[in-house]
Amino acid sequence: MAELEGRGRWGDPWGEGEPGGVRKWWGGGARGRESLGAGVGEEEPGRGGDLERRRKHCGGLGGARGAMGGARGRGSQGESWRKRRGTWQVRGVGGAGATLRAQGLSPYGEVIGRRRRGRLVGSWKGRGVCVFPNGGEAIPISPARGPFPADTAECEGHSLLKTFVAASAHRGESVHIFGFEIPEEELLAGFDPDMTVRLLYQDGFTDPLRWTGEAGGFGAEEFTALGVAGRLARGPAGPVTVVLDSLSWLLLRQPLPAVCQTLGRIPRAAASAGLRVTRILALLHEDLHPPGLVETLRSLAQAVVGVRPAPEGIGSGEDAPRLASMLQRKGTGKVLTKEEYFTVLAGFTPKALGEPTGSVPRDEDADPHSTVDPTANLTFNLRLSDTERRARDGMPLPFHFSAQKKSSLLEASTSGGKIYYEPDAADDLDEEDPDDDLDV
Amino acid sequence: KRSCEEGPALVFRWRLLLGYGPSVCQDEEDKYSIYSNLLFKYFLAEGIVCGHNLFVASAKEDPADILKELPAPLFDDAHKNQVNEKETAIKSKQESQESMKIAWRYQNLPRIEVSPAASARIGHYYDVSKMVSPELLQSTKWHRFFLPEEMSLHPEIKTCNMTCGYTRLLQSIQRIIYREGFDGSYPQKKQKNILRIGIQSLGSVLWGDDICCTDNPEDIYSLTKFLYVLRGLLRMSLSACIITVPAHLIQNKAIMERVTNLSDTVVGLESFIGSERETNPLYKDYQGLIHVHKIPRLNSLICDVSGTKDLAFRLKRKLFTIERLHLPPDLSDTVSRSSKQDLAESTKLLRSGCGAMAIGKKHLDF
Repeated sequence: MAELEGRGRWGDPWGEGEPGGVRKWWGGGARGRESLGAGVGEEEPGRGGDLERRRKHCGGLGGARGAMGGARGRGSQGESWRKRRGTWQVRGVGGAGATLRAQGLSPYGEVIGRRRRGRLVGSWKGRGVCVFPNGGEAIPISPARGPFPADTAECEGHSLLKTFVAASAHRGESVHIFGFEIPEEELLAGFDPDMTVRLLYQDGFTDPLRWTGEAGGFGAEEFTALGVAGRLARGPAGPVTVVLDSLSWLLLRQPLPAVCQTLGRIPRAAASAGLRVTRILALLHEDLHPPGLVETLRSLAQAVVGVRPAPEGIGSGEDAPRLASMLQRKGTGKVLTKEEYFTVLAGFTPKALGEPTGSVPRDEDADPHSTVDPTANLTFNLRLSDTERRARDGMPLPFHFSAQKKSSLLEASTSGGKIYYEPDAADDLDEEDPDDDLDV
Repeated sequence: KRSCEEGPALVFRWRLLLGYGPSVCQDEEDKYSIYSNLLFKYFLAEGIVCGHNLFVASAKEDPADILKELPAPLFDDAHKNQVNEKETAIKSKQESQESMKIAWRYQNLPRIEVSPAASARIGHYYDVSKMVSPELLQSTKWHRFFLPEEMSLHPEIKTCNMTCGYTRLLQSIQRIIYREGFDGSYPQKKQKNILRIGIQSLGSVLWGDDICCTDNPEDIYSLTKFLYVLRGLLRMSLSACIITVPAHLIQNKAIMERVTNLSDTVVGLESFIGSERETNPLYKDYQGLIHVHKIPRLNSLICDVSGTKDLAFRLKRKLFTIERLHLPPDLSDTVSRSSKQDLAESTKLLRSGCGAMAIGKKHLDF
């Protein structure tokens, strides 16, 4: 127990709120920009006031959201969103935010742009995060139902988890955090006040064994579909994101099958209470569990982000970059895997630092342009003129058989074998004593 | 669509399922269980087309959703004609080929048919890109078993030293078999039909079994007991069953051996997604390999053995096909195959003897 409480074991070695430059989160390059739609490309750094820039930027995001959403209009949605986002951005990040805006990219850009519905579990070396998808079977997800904001999972645990929490809160969902490892104050530290309104902390940290019997606590034995749904029902109506911090804590107290079944049933139980669970995020400390258990969780999750420390020399010094290996299952039956360096900025904004260049340098042999004609630059002639070639083709080769002989050889002999025997001069056959040669 | 070019494995399975009825066949799931789900759906779709009754059991997806996503059958003959044309075209091309001058000994060897079952087609064809029509679905009689739902519906059922999900499933199957008259041991008045049972991801944690997470599960015999009883049920009734099992997750390999032993047909799928073979040019046409672990031998001492066990599957836009795996001819202009650096390791080993000289030396050097 003691070792689980407090942040000792998995404390955030990077601290929160790393300052740092800018770029965009996940997905780098072309894809990220595409998904952001109209906003990209409009911006030119250094032009116009900051406010103007912000508005443009947010407009772009709104557009992207509309495009993704299909059914949902971009009008009023975009407006409110714009506003929220604006506020948030202004507060969150100083210089970094400005750079992002200048690039026409939201710090949440990729997160929002990607349609990720799933669930997922991720982890690495004690720090991992999982996002459980829309809760499995329970909630029918029809493709026409508007944007499914990206789920993502976390890294070194908590800071990545918090970026997902922030993204969910930005979408206007209420976020129920079932916290077992970190006290409420610590978990909510760093979030904007207008965002913390949407965050509902279910306290499993203060009194995990229910010794004090205070109302409001959440014990491990309460983690059942009905128990969780009951907690969710106390919050406001509307789409809900469930965050488990962490799954490892639960797995140490309940068997895996029970936990998985509960995760699968939460959306159904919530649906019967009139709530829509859009996704379940869970943090998993991978090194606490046998590999088989982790594999099983990965097979159930819709998206998994594993987090590892990045090697030296990636990103700027104070960024504390990490490497995220993402696995995402698409509804169509496709599976995407990707690795990317990232860091978490102040305000829980993820920032992508590019993909590892792990590709093995190809052998120059493989390059078709570098193949060399072996018959070139020789002191003698290896080429054939047409007449020479014709003469060569006309020459009967020693192993050429006539068609007749060939076919007789190729055809399976049906008549049985024959023995041809020509007697030697030394052969002395005596018709009357065939065993003459035997030394009897 | 069910491929016209079905590999022997599936043909056997089909024949078995259609002809003999009682059988258990098992798919080992590929890592992300994409293709095993596809096969699973083929099995159920075939049941719909044949007018069989269905029983769909799952702990993860709602059976109604599974049924909605079944591939749509192709009833028209247009496709068959197309296939026939293709075949005849290939054949005539083969025949018109000039006789071999130097490698003449290969002249009369039978050509390796990539799609061995092209001539003997069994079953129907399906279009993977389309879903089965709701009307067809409605005309089918089917039964559902959705574990989370079942747990709340019948909380009174006792679990007799078997994982409780399994017990409920068995009782549900038994109930259907007796109630709907699939029970072969009692002559039924009404028209006899076949029950097709599909069980998805049996053995996963969602069934409440922990063989997927530890080497020493609480009840190591739970799954095998279930299969044993299920086999008994199937042998006594007009039913066939397909089960998908996440074999890569099962920690104790002895369990998988026992499961194989208890099944009639076992087919393993190995998808290339996420593995290094995905980028291997040798496999670039395929999405994965099929391993035939067990072929049934009913009423016989020996089993039919197919010509090759190297089978691969590919999923085109509409078509799922199983083909013999073979090395493509090397038609490149380079001196030898060895210039392709990342062919399969095995081929690397093979050519290391003769190809060593060709590697790296671009100029003839005297």
